[in-house]
This record gives sequence, structure tokens and C-alpha cells, in this order.
Amino acid sequence: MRTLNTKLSLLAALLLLAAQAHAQEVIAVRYYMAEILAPTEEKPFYRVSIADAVPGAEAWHTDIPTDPQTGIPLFTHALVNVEAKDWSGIAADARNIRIDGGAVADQSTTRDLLTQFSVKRWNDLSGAQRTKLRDTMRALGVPTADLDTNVSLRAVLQKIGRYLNPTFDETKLGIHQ
Amino acid sequence: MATVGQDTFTVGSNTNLEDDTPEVGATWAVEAATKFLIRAADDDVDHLNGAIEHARKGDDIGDDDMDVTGVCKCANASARIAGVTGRVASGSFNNCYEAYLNGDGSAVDVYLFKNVAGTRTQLGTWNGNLTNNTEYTVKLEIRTAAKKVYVDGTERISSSDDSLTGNNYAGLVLNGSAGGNSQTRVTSFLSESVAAPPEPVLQSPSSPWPNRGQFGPLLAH
Repeated sequence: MRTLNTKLSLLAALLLLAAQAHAQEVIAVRYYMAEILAPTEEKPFYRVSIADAVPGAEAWHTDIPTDPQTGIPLFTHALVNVEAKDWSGIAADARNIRIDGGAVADQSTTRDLLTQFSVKRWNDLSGAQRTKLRDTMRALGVPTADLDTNVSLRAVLQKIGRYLNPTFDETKLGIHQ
Repeated sequence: MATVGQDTFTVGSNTNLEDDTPEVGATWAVEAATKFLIRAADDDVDHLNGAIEHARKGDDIGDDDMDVTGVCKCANASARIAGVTGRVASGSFNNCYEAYLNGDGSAVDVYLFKNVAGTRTQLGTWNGNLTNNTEYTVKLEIRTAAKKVYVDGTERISSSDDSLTGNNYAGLVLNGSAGGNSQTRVTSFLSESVAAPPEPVLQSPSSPWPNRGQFGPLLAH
């Protein structure tokens, strides 16, 4: 019996390792609000905190409205569409706020992700995620009064995006092929 | 799409880009004279400076929607850039969108940047881990608020940033090395207008209204 248990344990461990390896090979897409970082000597340009994550994204896409004369960003945060296999570096940085807070299962395309965002609601987020996201939105000046009407996450995405950039179009941020 | 500017950098002897005669369209203006060198042996533009510098082709594309394509290669060394620019402001080098291969010593990846008066903002990245010193076709597609970067025909970055509008020029962005020969180069350049080319004006040699064309009076009835 002990031998059987040992074999089953080994098999379970192997399956777990295989599942973890598979999870790290598959690219998924998520939306984040990320902090905009100022230029440094090493990186003399504005960028989002997602850009500095290690391990990093496979790709990321953002809009950063800027002053038309100086080029300096107008806000402290930006919406970012992120493609990654390994999310540990991005998730470990508190400056990166996942819009769906884990309420939406990982999708492999932005199109599928937006479909999920149309279905999932504000109240699908955990209380802690709602508080974190609402506080960040308020700090930016994004109106939050109607969030408690249980709006869709896509409406939240549009609300944030269009407040930051009036020409924001979620179908033009991230790859839609 | 209508070709507005084209250059394959084919010269008989080494030539500064600002002295080159492109196949299609106007000549080049450069941010730093004598730093963009067309090498006759390779028929490509080498960059003889360790700093980000731009070249602007003198063609008014007629609209701020455009496709700009460059065949580029980039060394995987610190601070190397080879790519194209779009929505470049008239008379300016540092008001534009930039799409380029970026080498940093650990990988060659693809970046999309916005450059407003020299203040640069990163709008997207594809960590493609491309091959060192290898040619890739980088296309910057601009359609109103949609900015897309294609590499060898596949869309890799997109943004709806629309801070820069009304700029109708296109060009190159490079960051090589002081001695050149950094293998960070552009082999060909193409700028295309999205708008249909203007209809040719048909003129009668005897027409007293040379700008109206021979069918003008008929159409007036």
C-alpha cells in the first residue's frame, strides 16, 4: 500500500509540474492600470511600470496622453493591455493594478478578453480589489459614483480609458487579429 | 495606397543621406549632418553616432494617416536603434511616432514610442527576442487614433494614442555607434499615403481655363 501511495504521490507531483509548465508556456492577455514612471539616466523616457517587470511581458500596449507642448504625461497612471506567459513579475509590483482582479479567466486574445469584460460585473471583483481600483480611479479624478450600480467591467475599462484619453478605443489597444 | 517616398539607398560610393537622391520623392533632411552614411558596399544607411537621431524625408504625404515601412537590422548591443518614424512634423525631427528594432545587449525587441518636442514616451513593446544583425521589415501603420507596428507582416504592437495629429511627414530613427559599422542599419524605406492620389487634371491646350480641364464647361451644364 505504501508503494502505491508513493507512486500516486509521484504521479500527482509530475502532473502538477506539467500543469505549471503548461501555464507558463501559454500567452494570456490582461488589462492593468500601471503607474507612469519618469525618465531615468538608464531609461531616459516615460514608460509604464509594466515595462520594468522581471520577468516581463511578452508584449504590452498603452495610451499615455501628454502635454502637446512639453510631451510630459498628463496623468500618473495609464491603461495597459498586457500579453504574458509568466505573470509573477507583474503581479509582484503593487504599482500594477489588474483591472479584473482575477475575476476573469485568462484569455488568449484581446477580443475574447473584451467579450468576458462585457459579461463580468463590478460586483464580481473582490471587496479588496474594488477598493483598490476605486481608490486609484478617484485619485486620477475618474468618476466612480455609478460603479455600485454593478456596471460591466468593459464599462469600467471604457470609463477609465476615456477619462484619460477622449479618443480611447478599447478595440484599438492591443492586438485584435 | 499610393507611394509617396521610396529609397533603397543604392549609391556608387559612400554618400551622406542628406546628399542622396531617392528613387521616389524628395530628398532627406537629417538631425545631425554626416551622421547618416549610405554605404555603397551594402546599399544601406549606417549611423555614425551613439545617440538617437532622426532623418526626415521631404515628402508631404498630404494626410497624417500613412504607412511607413523600413527594412531594418539591429545589433544586439547597448543602445542600438533602427526604425521608421511617422506623423513627423514639418521642419521637425522630434515630433513624431517611432517604431523600431531596439538592441540593449540582452535582446533585440520592437518598440513603439511617441516623441513630443524631444520628450519620449514608450507606448508599447514586443519582446520578440529577434536575431542579432538580421533584417526585419518594420511597418508603422497610422489610421486616425490607431497606431500599429507590424514586423515581417505580423501585427505586434498597437495603441490608440493620438497626441500627435496633423503631421504629414515620415522618416528614419537610428542609434548606432560613433565609428559606424555597428550593424544597426536601414536597407530600404517606403512611405505611402492612405488617401487616394489626386485625380489628374485633364487640360485642353486651347482651353482659356487651364485649371478647369477640357471637360469643365461640359460638366458645368
